[in-house]
Amino acid sequence: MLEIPANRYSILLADDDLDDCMFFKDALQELPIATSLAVVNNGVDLMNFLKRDPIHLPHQLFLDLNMPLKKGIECLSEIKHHENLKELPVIIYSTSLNQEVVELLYKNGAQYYIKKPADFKDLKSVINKALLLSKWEEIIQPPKEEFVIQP
Amino acid sequence: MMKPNVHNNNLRFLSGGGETGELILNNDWTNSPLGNIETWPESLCTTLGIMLHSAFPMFLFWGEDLTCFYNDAFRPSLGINGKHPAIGKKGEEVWAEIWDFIGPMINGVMTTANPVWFEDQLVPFYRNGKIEDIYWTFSYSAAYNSDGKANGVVVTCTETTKTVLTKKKLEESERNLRSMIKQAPVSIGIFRGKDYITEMANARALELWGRKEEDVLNKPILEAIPELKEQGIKELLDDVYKNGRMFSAPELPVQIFRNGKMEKAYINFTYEPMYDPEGNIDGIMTVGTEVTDQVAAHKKVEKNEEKLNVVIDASELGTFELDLTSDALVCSKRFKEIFGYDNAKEVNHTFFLSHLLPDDIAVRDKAFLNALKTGILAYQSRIRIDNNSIRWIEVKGKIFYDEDRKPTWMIGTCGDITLEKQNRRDLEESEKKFRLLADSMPQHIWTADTSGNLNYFNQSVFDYSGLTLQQINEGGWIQIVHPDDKEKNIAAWLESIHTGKDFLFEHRFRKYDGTYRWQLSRALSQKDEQGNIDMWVGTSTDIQEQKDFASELEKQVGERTAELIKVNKTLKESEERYHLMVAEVQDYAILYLDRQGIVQNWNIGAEKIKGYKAEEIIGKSFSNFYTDADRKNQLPQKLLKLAEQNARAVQEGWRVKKDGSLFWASVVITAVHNNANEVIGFSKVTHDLTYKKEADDILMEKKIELEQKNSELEKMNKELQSFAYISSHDLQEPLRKIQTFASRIIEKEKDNLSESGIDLFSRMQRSAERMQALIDDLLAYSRTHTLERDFEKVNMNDIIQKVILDLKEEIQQKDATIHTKKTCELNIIPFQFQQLFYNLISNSLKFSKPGITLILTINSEYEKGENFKNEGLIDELNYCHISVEDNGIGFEPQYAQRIFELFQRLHGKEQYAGTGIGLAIVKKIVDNHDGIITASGEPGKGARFDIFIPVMKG
Repeated sequence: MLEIPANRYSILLADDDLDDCMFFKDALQELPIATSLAVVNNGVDLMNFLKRDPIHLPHQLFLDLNMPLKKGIECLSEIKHHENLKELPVIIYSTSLNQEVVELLYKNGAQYYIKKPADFKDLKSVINKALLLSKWEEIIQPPKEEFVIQP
Repeated sequence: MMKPNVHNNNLRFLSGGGETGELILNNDWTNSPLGNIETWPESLCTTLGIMLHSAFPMFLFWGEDLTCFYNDAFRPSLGINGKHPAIGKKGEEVWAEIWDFIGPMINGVMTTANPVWFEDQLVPFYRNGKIEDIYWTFSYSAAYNSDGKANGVVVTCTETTKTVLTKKKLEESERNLRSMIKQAPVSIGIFRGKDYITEMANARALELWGRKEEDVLNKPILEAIPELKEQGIKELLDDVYKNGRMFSAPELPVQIFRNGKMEKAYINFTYEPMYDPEGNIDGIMTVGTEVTDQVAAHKKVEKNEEKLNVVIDASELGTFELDLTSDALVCSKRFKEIFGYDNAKEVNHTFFLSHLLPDDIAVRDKAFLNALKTGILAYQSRIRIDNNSIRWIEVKGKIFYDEDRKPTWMIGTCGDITLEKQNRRDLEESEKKFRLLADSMPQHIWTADTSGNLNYFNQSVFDYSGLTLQQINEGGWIQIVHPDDKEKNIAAWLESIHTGKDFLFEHRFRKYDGTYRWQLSRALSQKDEQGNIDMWVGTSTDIQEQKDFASELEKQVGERTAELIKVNKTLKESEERYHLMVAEVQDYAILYLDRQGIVQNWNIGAEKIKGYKAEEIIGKSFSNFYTDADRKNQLPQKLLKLAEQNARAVQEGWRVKKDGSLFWASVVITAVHNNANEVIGFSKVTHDLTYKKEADDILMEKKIELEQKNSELEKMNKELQSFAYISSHDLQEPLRKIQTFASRIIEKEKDNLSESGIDLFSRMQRSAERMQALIDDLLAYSRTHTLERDFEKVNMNDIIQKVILDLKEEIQQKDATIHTKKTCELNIIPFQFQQLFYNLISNSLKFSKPGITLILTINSEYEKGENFKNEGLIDELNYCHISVEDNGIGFEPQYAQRIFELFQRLHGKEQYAGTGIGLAIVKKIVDNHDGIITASGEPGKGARFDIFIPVMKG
């Protein structure tokens, strides 16, 4: 099973695309922040992981939308309605950028939105921004204009 | 009586002691505290000796136990069945019931030796079998023993019960007397002494005097009622007091101050002297009755009599009194005058009778005989007086009888009524004339009293009705009124009687032969000087002929009118039929149905369409033309009902021909009404529309086919849309990864790659980027087809600002300036307009002239269509005109249309990146909003886009 090392800034990624998971992992490693990463590949696994040990939650969750078994948006809604999980910062990590979907996610309590960039440099940039913003600013939700993180 | 047997000298005190002495002797004293009689002390014996020999009732309580002794004189006081014999018994035992009273008294006498004395004291005790109320006069005194100490009490007493009771009775009788006086219905007062001190005055007296008891009692009456002094009352009293003469006066008027004023009272009273036992006058008693009311009453009678005399005088009546036993006559002056004599003439009864005309003597005698029976005399007769003139007199009288009902005398009056008689005769004559006049009138004349009762009818009424006056009076005048007129007649008559308005009424009277004739009756009220209605005078005139004439006229008019109506009706009916028949008779079946839908007539058109001949179908129901299913649904009946309600029923449907084949019929059923607006039947017009129906059916099939195609198209469209969606998502994904992998390789393997390898990778990356742009644009374009049209009212500048924010980096990079001037609010699909501005602005940014600051001007305002020279705009409509103008590279005017075409590009890919979709999207969005977009440009100067969106209400 996945474990979250207690002493590092812990990140959980939920994404079924293994390529994207690799890109994410590579990008994290190249960032100057010491983090630990755990990965789940579908929504059901994600919810089980979170509910198994709600005390030791990751510091951040990067959530893909288009996942098998349980879609990302369902997971978000479940997390935000769970007494012990609702404080967890959720950063949407998606291929598409549909304005209406973005609105809906913001309304449902996602913290930031990342459109998976094509360029690896951009990928590193947005992940870095997401980590910094989330970690240092300690905010649940930014203003709507800053919701989508640009590279 | 036995004498006590006294042997012992010591017991001598008992000898001659009577019954009680013997009782003492024979009593067994052995066990008593006094011991044997022989041992009794001298003092006791002495006391008993005195007592027993006294004829006065005495009683002794002796010694410690107060032992009782009494003598024979006392004995009766103890009665029968009482305390006797009580000798030798203890005082307390004998007098137990009154010991509370006498015990302390005896004790007191014993200790103080002071005697006690009572008079008529009530001491009830037990005797004669009951407790009796007994009155005593008695004294208690001490009895002493030999050493001078009080050792007993001697009671000397007399029973005074009888005396006391007698005295009480006396007092009571006096009280009764006094109260009798007090309550006597006459006033009684007693004055004592020469000052006439009021000793007593009863309530009546006080009431008469107008004083209260305390005002007069024990006071001299003349001081208590001072007003009497001046009225000679003192003199009256003095006379009675001094001379002992009783004074009595009826109806003496006395002025008395009472009820707060001086009043005059009439009193019947007497003063009577009162004597003391010695026979001297020591007081006066007055007994009186107030008769003020009675006096007032006969004063009134006297006055009335006076008045009567005045009246008699004024009426010039002579009065007389005739003594029926002696025939003596007393008569007044006027009486004599009537007969032509002066007052001095001595007259008697027979003298007067001699003046009667011989013809009238019988009248007088009859009246007199009658008067003796009834007590009332009344007659009128003529007298001849001395100057030979004849006069009428009227005599009235009343007879008075004695106890045996024997007539004794008569009083009466006599009046001269000559003038009246004359007047009456004149009146009668005039009335006779009037009657003659009235009876000779052909009209009916009648009169009525103020309450409406008819009391006179002229001869014409009797002649006409054949009734006698009696018959009319008995059956009422209403009997000759026609039964149908009676009620209204009575009502109208009563109305006139109540209001006093003239009566005017037309009614029929029954003639003697039983026929009725119309009469016009009028009645006018006759009023007296004060304007009050005195009577009614009415006439009834025969108006039968006028009536006949009027009704004949009416009848003729009625007949004419009926004729006219009939003609009219026929005309109307024929007209309606004509109308229905003539209209397009060739191609239409025109039938007339009765109310039940039975065919009444049949035309050629009907025969042609339905196949029946007239004789085959007339008289049958029109439901024969309907299919079984329609008949089952009662369509024929429903259509008739509809026609009845709405005047018309229109329907298209299959109908059945005679041969059973169907035809498509257009049917109009019209309700036909009579003059009273009642439905009397229906016209039915049927048109064969089978050929039209067939054409319609083909059209319908085509329509369905089209709809099918349409929905197929829609389906295809949807598929296309989902293709677009898939391309955006699923195609982008690998594409993005290609780019990412490429960027990873370039980054990580830079050193391992040759220059040309790096270049190739870059080209690969750019190709992938272009492909991604293409996909994004295609997606955007496809989204403009979306059927969801969420229109919202939005301000243009708000959208533009959002787009500027999105394009912030590009704008900075190109150092571009965007001016927004006027703005509009428009009802649009917001995300599409965002896309529109995004595309236009990025287009300008892309085609900016290198080295020159890009200036973009966006303006939007409302204007009427007629203000633009554009064929596509409607003049009257309001438009929002949006213009976007830049100073970029521009374009050749010839391309103004083409630039909106899909994938149309004016420049090489290497020169300006782009997919050629952006402006096509803009055009599509403008189309979606029913607007128009035009482009104009000049190479090297700039480009301008004009968008016109119609302003929709709401």
